[in-house]
Amino acid sequence: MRVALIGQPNCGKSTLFNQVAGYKAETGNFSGTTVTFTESKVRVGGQIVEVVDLPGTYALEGTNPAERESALYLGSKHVDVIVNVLDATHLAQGLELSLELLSLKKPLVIAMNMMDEATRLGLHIDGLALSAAMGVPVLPLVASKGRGVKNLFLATLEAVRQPPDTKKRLEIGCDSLGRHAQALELMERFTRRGESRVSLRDRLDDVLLHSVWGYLILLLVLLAFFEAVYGIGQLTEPPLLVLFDAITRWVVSNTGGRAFLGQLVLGVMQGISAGVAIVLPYLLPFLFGLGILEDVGYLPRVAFLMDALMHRMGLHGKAIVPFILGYGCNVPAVMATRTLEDQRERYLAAALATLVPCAARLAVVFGLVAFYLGPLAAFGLYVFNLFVIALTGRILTGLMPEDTPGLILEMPTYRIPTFRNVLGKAWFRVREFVVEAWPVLIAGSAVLAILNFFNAETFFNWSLRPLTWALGLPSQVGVPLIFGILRKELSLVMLGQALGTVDFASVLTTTQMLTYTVFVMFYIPCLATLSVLRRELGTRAMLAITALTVVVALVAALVVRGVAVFFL
Amino acid sequence: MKLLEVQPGEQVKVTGFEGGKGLQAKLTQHGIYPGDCLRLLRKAPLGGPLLVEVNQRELALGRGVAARIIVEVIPCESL
Repeated sequence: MRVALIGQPNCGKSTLFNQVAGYKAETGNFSGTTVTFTESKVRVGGQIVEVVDLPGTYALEGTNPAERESALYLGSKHVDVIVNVLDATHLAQGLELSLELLSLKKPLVIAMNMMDEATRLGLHIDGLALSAAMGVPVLPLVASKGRGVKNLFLATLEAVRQPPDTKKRLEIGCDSLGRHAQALELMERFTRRGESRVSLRDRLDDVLLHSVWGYLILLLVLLAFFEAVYGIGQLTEPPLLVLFDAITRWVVSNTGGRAFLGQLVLGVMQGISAGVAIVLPYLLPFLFGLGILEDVGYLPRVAFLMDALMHRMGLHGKAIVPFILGYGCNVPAVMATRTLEDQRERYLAAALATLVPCAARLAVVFGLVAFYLGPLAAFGLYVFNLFVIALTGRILTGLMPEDTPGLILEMPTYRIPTFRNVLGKAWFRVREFVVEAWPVLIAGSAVLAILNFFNAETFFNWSLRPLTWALGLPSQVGVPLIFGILRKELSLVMLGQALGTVDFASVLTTTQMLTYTVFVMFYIPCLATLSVLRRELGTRAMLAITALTVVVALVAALVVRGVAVFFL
Repeated sequence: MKLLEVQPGEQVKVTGFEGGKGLQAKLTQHGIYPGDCLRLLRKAPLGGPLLVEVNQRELALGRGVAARIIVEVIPCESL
């Protein structure tokens, strides 16, 4: 049996899905987090049920690729019952989709989500009367806290067991204007507005969206976020490095020292310790913090504040979502461009999103620049990165001009994130690193050890020599740069191996560290990003974006080198 | 009058849209129909978007979009 969860953006479908399936779908307090469907098998009342989480859609005839996916799924696959998730605080809006779903003549259950928020707003919804009027079951739900989930699924099973009498359902309007009026009328009839206890949101927005304070706070929030990630990483990295160094020395001395086996083991150990000691100390706090920012609902405010700037880059504020996701990982960032309607805008947003330094590149920035040159230098690099992205966007817009239709974005209410969800989300993303990236890191490190042993790396270094020469870098960084295309962390991990020490300050000058890091920030997306670019936008777009990143990386690194040589 | 010309705090009624079918479809999907009441909450600086309240929801609308929404100043009882 297959249950499809459908609803408008940011009504909590994925939160409900994660409640029953464990954390498997990305969530966040803004529209467009889910762009493809996720399936999972779940046990409900002794029965195995397949639950599908669909991207949020305002109407069945959606206009962006993510929305079309939902309609396509409902139309093509065998769906036994539809669970329509509604945001109780935005009932009229949500009911428009429900009315459309009524006409599908399939078993339908309405889940009235965020009932706790509705109560706080002073909304009283008569679910029973609404259910009677519409001819389908209506159940209350607080997905974020897991309240009402069990009853919802029992009702869903019941709806399949007793196929609905679709004749008893509400007659619905035939066009969208008719449904709009009908939905408003239904809401008026079945909700009572009591004393509202809000205005906290208005007061918060007065400050957070203020034309001066808003930007100042945005800067402070980002700076605090940055300092926190750096502080926690700084606290945990050195002791872990010392520990792993000791273990590595012990293991290597017991496996034959400088012989082939010993060198191979050394490579493997360096890969393992890089994961634990260099990447995780920064990745964990970063993902945790990003999760909190996402769930609070601050990101759409950032979109509001930044829309004017984004316009100058040829995008509108909505494209900020792929951008911010990009700081976690470029792969979901490229996928999130599906929420953009215009194909040209998708190309542009995807190209620029791949220039956003993801968490893997964060490891390079923090492990190299922040560690040796201080957190302010690292922050400076991030600001420089933004500037380069803006400039690139500006130039690309000049090359492919077109009038962008402009921003239409829903501002969600602020929510206090639940610890469970933030933790689940951070774990979901860390697991991706542990399962997918770490093995590649270890293997890459081992391969490099073998190359080192047979002196084969000189060939790679020699072939990249024109590049490394232009950037004023030692020729040994050629191999880390090539392997960095597999996984960006490798450009840091293998740098230690290539240079023969992890005390980078003893072999690299400040200028070299900055130049290297800036080049790594921009050049060729990693393998996973390349494959998602190809899947989403085609081979030609992938190649064009790759070429673009190389040019941008080269120019940016040369500029940094020039400036650093001049001032340092 | 256009929504773009409305001052923050004012309430207006949507009377129609200018521009193509695509924009109109997008606006209605986000719950803005002719006849709906809007309240302009604030404008972002430097040509940034407008924040409006419609049917108890808040939407950010870019200036390009706001320039194509035709409104009239009518006291609305539904807000």
